[in-house]
Amino acid sequence: MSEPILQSRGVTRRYLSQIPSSWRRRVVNAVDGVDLDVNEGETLAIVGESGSGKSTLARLMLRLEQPSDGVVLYRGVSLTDLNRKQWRAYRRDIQAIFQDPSSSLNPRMRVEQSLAHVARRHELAEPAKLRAFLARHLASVGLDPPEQYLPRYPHQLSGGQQQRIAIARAMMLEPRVIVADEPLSSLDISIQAQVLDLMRELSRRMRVGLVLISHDLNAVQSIADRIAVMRRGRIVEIGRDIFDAPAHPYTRLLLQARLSTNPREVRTRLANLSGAPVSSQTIEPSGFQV
Amino acid sequence: MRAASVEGAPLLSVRNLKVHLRVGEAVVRAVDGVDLSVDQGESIGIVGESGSGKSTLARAVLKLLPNVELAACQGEVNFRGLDLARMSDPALRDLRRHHGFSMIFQDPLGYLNPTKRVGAQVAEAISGKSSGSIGDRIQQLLAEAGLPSPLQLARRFPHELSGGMRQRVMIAIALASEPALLFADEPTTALDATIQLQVLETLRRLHRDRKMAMVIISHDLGVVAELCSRVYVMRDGKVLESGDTVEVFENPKHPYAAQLIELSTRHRRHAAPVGSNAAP
Repeated sequence: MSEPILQSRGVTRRYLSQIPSSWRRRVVNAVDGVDLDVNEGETLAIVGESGSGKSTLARLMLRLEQPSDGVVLYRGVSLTDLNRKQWRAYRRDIQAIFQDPSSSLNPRMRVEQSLAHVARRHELAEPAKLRAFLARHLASVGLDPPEQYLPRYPHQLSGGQQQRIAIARAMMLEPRVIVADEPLSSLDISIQAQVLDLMRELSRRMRVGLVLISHDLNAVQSIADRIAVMRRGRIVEIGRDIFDAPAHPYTRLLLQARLSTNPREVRTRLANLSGAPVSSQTIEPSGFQV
Repeated sequence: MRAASVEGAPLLSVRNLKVHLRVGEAVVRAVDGVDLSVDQGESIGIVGESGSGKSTLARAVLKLLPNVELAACQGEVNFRGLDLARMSDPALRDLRRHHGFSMIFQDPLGYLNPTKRVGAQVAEAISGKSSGSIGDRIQQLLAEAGLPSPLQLARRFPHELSGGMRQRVMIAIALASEPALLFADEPTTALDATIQLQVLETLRRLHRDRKMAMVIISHDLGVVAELCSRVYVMRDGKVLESGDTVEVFENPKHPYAAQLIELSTRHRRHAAPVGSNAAP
C-alpha cells in the first residue's frame, strides 16, 4: 500500500455569504471538516454538484486558500504553517489544472513564452536546450509536431489543445500530486476521452497522485481508483465501487440523474415522450401545475 | 400575421443550408449544405462536438447571426410555408413574438437583463393580445416553466436565482410568444446533473402538453436520448447521419457517429439505473 502523499485533516473553510435581497450575511461552511488521503500514484476523484465545496477543497489542497480550521499535509508537512518562502519549495510538487484552460494561459503570451516562463523559473532546462525541452513535453501530451504549437497564442488553439498545454505545463515540473479542478468539463466528449487517457497514462507512468474534481460521474469512473462524493462541504461517501454499491442516498440520487444512452432505455424513455404520464423519477419542484 | 400551416408539410424544413462566417481574414464554412426537417409537434436533436456547426445552424435558421460575421448564407429555410430567408424584418419579428419560434441558450445569465426584475423581463416577451392581466400571465408562464412560488419570484433579479431557476426563467420568456417551435441550444449543459434532469423533465412536459415542436442542440447524447425522437449527427458543418434516435444509437452507420456513441456509452458502463425509472 502506498503512502498518503497529500492529506487533509478536519479541513474547514468558512465564508460569509450574502443573503439574497437582504443586507444580512450568514456563515457558510463551504468545506466542513474534511479528512482525505491521497495516496502516491493514486487517482482520487471527488464528485459533487455545484456548491458542494469540491472546488474550495481543491483550492485548499493547492494552498490557494487557507483553511479556517484543520490542516492540509503534504508528506506529513503542514502546508498551512509554511511561510511564502518555504512554500515555494513545495509549490513544484503540487500542481494544478483548471476547468477553463483559456483563462489559465496568458492570452498575450505565445505557448512557448508561457511554458518557457515556468521552465526558467524552476530551472528545468538549460537555456540552449529550452526549446527542445518544451517541444518534448508538448509531444508527450499529444501536441505533435510541437513546432506547430509553440508559436501560437492561446486563442489560436482549441479548448482541448489549451488543456493539453496546461497539462504539459503541470507535468514538466514533475509534480507528485496534480489537483485537477473540472479539467474535462469544457471539452468535447472525444477530447475528454483523450485527455482522460492522457492523464491516466501520465499519472501511471510518473506515479503522480491525481485529485480529479468533477461533477461528471460518467467521466471519472473509468479513471478513478477511488471516488469521494461531496455534498454541502462534507464527504458523504468514499470508496472504490460506490457506483456499484452506493451506500448514501445522495450518491444514489446522483447516479439516478445520469442520462442513459443505452438504446433499450432510450426506447422506453422516448415511448414516454408523447401521451403517457411523466415517469416516476420526476423531481419537479412543487407547485408548477397551473 | 399568422401563417396557415400547410397540411402534411413539415413545420420547419431546411434545404441545402450553407452558412459561411467571416473569422478575421478567413472564411469558415460553419454550415455546409445541411438538410433538416421538423414536423409539427415533433422533437428532434442535433448532436455534435464543438465547432460542428450545430449552434450556427440554429442561429442561421432563426436569423440570429449578425450580418458583419456573415460571409454567405444560402439555402432554403421554410417555416410553415414561409420563406424565412426572404422575410422582412418586421414580419420576422412578428413571427418571433406570436406563435412562431423561440430559443433558449446554454447560459441564461448572458441573455437576462441583470438590472431588471424577472417578472418585467417575462412581461416584455408577452404578446399584446393576451387575455387577462399581464401579472397573471407572468405568473402562469413562470409556473409553467416549473418555478415554485412565481409571485415572489417575479420580483427577484436574475443574480438572485440559481442556474436552474434562471434557465426556467428563460423557458418562461420563450413560452410567452406561444411558440410552435422551441430551439434549445445546450439547455442543460451548465446545470448540475440532478437539476438537468428536472429541467429536461420540464421540457418534456411542455413538449407533450403544448404539442410544441423542439430542436434540442447538445453535445451530450444523453440529453438528446431523453427528449428527441429523431437525431441528426453533425460534424464540420455537415450532417453525417440522421434518423430515429434509437436506431441511430443502436446501429450507427457513419464511423464518427459510431465513435461518438461508443464514447458516451463507454463512460456510462455502469449506468444501470438505481431503482426503476422505466415508463409506467
